[in-house]
Amino acid sequence: MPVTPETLPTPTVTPQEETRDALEPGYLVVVWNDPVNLMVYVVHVFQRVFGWDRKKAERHMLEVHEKGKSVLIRESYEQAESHVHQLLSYSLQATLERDSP
Amino acid sequence: MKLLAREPGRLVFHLSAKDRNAIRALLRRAAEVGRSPSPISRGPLAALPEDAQELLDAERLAEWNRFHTDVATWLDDPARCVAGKGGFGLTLSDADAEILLQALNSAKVGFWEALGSPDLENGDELAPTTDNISHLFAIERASLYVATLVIALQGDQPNA
Repeated sequence: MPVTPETLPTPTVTPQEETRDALEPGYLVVVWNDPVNLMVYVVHVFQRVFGWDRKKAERHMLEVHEKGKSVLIRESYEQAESHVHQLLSYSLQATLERDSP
Repeated sequence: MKLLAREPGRLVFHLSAKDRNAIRALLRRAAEVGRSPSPISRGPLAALPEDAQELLDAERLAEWNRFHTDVATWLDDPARCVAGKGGFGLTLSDADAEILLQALNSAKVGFWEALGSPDLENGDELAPTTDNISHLFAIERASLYVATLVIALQGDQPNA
């Protein structure tokens, strides 16, 4: 029996799917180096905002200092936006970036 | 400003009269200097609403203004900032100390931005002049208070 090629319908993205996409982990919280905030202050903020122990907070602080930035966490858009807001409230240079697939 | 005592959930600081005046002045002048907008992203964000950046900046500024108002209220409250020998005893909950920390660091960063955000460790030069000396002094003073608060909040030994 011959196989008739079929054209699959083009998937359409519904508003519900867009919302779901925004909720799924796929956003990065990045902190960038700056020459004004004290190292101990940055460590304190990381501990406060993320509940990390000092060792982990110091590791990320040093990464910021030495490499210019550190990806702190990968999470949903809503969570990442909330964390960026908290970090900005502490006057750190934090941004929200979409993770590459 | 020195940490006098660390008790469960609260911190007690000694403030000299100069410290109290300096903190007031730092926050008052910081409000005049303002802050630069902070971009929420340095890359493309498809899901980002168009007005998200403006809302974020406005929300952050409003929050700092609330912090400054709170701190001014505490410093004027004789029950919280108790006059004593050689200055004042300021009692803060851990949460209030975080607010003071954010307020002072925000002020510090605002003065730094007002100087053009110089990177002094990597080649930028900034000779003190009559125009910038007050900002430089404010940054140094705020840094001292920030360091004192961080050490206190981290539970390290009181600085004698």
